[in-house]
Amino acid sequence: MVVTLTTLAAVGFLAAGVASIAADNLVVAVSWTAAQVPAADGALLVGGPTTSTLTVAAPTGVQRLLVFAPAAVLCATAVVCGVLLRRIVRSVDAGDTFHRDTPRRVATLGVVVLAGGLVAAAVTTAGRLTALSPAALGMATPASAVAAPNGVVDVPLTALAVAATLWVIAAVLRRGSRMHADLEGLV
Amino acid sequence: MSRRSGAEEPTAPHRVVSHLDVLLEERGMTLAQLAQEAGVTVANLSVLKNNRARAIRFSTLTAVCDVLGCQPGDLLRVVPREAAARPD
Repeated sequence: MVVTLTTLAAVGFLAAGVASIAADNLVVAVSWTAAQVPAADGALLVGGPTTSTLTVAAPTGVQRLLVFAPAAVLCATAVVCGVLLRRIVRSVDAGDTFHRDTPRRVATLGVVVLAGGLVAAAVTTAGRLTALSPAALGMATPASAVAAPNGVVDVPLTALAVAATLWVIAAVLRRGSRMHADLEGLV
Repeated sequence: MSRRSGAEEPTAPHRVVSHLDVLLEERGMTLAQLAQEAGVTVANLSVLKNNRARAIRFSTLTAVCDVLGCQPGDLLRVVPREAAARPD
């Protein structure tokens, strides 16, 4: 069940990425900061953080690759998580719930989830900077209205929360493994 | 204060030996009979008899001693340090 879900997740991420490779146009969600600009009638248009959908017609190979990269990273993360989960499930199915390797595997799972989330976020930012900047897209930068994309990597809070939860579970399982070891040889 | 490093820590050695085999022989009982009467599994009694046990519940000890009509000291003995260190 768990393995099936991670496999589906990996296939989903990969399919989304492959779609960006094969599609005629790239459709990318972008966050940008609109500046405050005076309108013709003298009123002030309020700017601020905005999320829009950007369609890149006839994208270059580099642009396709940088849009595909986050999906590839998430796919690889899902595959590694699936392998680790399969090992955990196998030891549980074998009747050894507190196998001594289980806490390490759960903690590693947390590291993989966090690392995958961070790398995907970093690659997304890198893609935004290099391939989706107004200059790269060949459009005149409306500097008065749109701030240039910055290099700030959005911290993946969901991945961080999942990783923290997994580390807590690993600590609990580590304690359980010690107690299990204490019970070996008890009659 | 010492702290255990984890599940990988080797088992602490002990010098407790079981005389269950001797007591069974003296009473003409088998392990299966003892298990039946004491309400303890044969597997657990086998572990105890073959000195592979690392801990024993008071309930197990009580049940075995009740059936065998003995005291814990008759069943278990701590080998002196010098004797344990001596090669056979």
